[in-house]
Amino acid sequence: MRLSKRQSSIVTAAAVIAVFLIGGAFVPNFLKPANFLNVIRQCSIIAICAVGVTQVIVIQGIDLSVGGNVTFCGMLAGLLLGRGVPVPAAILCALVCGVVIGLISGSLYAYLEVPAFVATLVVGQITQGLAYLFNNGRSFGGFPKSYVFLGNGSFLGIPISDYIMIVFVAAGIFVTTMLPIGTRIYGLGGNEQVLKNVGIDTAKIKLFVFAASGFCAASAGVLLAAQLDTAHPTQGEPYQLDAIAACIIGGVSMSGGEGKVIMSMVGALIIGSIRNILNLLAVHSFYQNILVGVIIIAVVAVSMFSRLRSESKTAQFTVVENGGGR
Amino acid sequence: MAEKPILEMRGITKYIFDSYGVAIRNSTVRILDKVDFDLNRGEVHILVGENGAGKSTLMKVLGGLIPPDEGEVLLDGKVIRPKNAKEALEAGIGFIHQELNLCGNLSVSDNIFMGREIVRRGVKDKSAMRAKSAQLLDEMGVTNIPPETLVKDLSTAQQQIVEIAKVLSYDCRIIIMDEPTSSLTQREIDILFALIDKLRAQGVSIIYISHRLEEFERVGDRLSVLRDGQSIGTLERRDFDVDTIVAMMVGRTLGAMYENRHVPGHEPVLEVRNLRLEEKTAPISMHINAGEIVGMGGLVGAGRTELAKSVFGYRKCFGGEVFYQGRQLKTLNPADLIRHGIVYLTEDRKSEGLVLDMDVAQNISLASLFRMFPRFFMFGGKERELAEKTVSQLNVVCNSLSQLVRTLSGGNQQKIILGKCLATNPRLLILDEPTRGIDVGAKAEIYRMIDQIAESGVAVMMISSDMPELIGMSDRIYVMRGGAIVAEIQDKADMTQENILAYTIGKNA
Repeated sequence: MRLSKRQSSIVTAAAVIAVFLIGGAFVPNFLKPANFLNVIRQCSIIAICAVGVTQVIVIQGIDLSVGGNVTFCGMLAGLLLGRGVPVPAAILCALVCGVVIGLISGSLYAYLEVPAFVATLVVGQITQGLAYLFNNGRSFGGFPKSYVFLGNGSFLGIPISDYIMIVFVAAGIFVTTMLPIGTRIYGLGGNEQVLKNVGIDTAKIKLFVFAASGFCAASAGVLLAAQLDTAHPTQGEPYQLDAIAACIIGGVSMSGGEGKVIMSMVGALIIGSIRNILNLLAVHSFYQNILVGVIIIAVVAVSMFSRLRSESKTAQFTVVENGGGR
Repeated sequence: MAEKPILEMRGITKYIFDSYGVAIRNSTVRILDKVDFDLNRGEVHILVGENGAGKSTLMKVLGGLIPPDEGEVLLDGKVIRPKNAKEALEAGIGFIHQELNLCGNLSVSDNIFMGREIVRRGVKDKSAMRAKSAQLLDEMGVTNIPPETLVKDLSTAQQQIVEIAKVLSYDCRIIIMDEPTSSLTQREIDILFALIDKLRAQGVSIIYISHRLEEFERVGDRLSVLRDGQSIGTLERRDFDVDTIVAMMVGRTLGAMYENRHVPGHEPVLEVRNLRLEEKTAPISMHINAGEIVGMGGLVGAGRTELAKSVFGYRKCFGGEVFYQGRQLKTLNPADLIRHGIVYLTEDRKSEGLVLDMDVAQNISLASLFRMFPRFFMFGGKERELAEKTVSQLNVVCNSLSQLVRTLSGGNQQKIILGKCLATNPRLLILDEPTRGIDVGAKAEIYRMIDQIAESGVAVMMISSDMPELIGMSDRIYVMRGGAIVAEIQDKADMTQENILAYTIGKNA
């Protein structure tokens, strides 16, 4: 049996509660307010990346440039700030760069029909490489107060990062559910030929989706640098896996056409909490990656298994009433 | 018939094309040869013909999917040249394909309005789209499809109704339906026919492609027959008659290509007992003797390929037993079966039969590496030896053994697949459309080869949609329909095109 949409949402929500209960019961400090704020602040980076990645996976693509993009745009912001560029201008510059990076992988995918994983993997490696060049592999730090406030300040007791996250998630929901292009994004993931038959330029939709993902990753990169008050050429790397993991845990189908932005945010909460629990238990990040990988495999395996079982049942023939007689 | 036809197609010609898509104009073979077709307002015009007669190509021309090489399409007396599906739709011609042309993950209303979403202040106006969809469906007399349902949650018939609604939302006056009932149950067919009656009454014209005899009289006003890319004739409803229609559909004569020398043996090599292709299809029982060529007739989708694939272990089957050389085969999988001497030649040579970017020698040895190189290491010399033998035996035309298979003609590619199958030293050879899309000369050579194989005692099962080939080569013919065998023709005298066709389209014996 295949899980219906509502059932899988319930399963995911139950997973969040389970993670929090287990964390609260066995890990001291996990549910303390200070730590809790820390968790949701860290989750905001994953969630912002996941908003973009969700749509890429919905159109049957994948974005492996998130890690490189997060690093690159954080480093770029750091470089500009170090040169005395005003904070808004530096941020704007980094975000535009993120969109351009998305457009590059998007063009490779949409026009040259390079498989998404190749296009984004390469673009991710290039941006990662460029990030090392900015300061000869060293990091930037000591940013202006207003910039750091963006990452670490809070308003009404809730981190600014999470307001930003909510804006991204809300924008993602708005685009995917309220605008015509949202329907077309899902339609593209469902059956591209249908869109072509009514004269829709599907390449443009692909371009839009990759640009949006680039924008999300760049925003996450800028925000991460502000949270850490540092831009280091490796700091974006873990978000590659985490963003994809958040989508998968949130029920985005790797075969395209299905998945909700809001559920990917929930997925980001789960991943972020698991990471935090492991940190509190002093598990080294190497082991954390192994665990996150295993979780992804488990989630994908379960969903593919239920799909295979439901597909094997579909009939192909109409029955001949008097068939078999000679 | 005082009214002028709403649609006329005049002298539509489509040449065969080479592997680069360039039309070959000087060939005697044409996909469509000066086909004329017309359609009146509010009529259901049935289009029939064997597989490959050109029905689909003609309709693709009309639907804007492929351009005609010659000829013109007139809509209301004006020439139109739709360049793609969208332009055809806007001209008022909707095409309902055999395979689903909807996004299953979207709602009914999202599908109907795909590309033309109703927008208010930049935002999708969902309620307006739903209301309009409901209204459209209502006008069609359909009330059980809520517009917000996801298409994948609908039955096949309901999905087809949604497609019709989508087409009607473009104000289409002409709807092409390509075998719409092929995947419907009887109850769903009744619903569809009721809808067709209603549309006809509203003045919509329908071109209805079908193979099912029993449907012709139920829905058709006129019926046209295509054969080998030519229009053979058009019948009025009162002239609908099985024998007339069948006589119009057949007509190719058997050439001297089939001079068989093999003599069928008597001990069975393959015996299938009560095998079911699906849970609800009738059980299949059949056998093939050594040195015998058994033809499998029927339409595409009748279950012939599925039967072959089930026997060969490519595909699941629902119960039944398969005996090979007197022993029951317990688990079926291709790798083991090839070792036992069963081999299947696929109908889809490009995606299932060949590795297009490997060379001639590599492709030929591919299925018999286990036999040639049992000790893990490969030796090029031995591979080339085999390839040389095969190439000369089958008369493959290629520059060298290291030529990439992609660059060969269809006929030579087909010979290489056959060579690959023969290299495994089979005792049972399953051929699926062994001469599809290849020229006459290559066909004759392949026939001679198949005859030789049978002469050496190999049992051959040959699936073919080419009637003369089926009749010319087979010692016995099974006819399949709806996933089951509906007839076995043993007597050479009963192997007439009329006879076989009557079974395929459902005349009861």
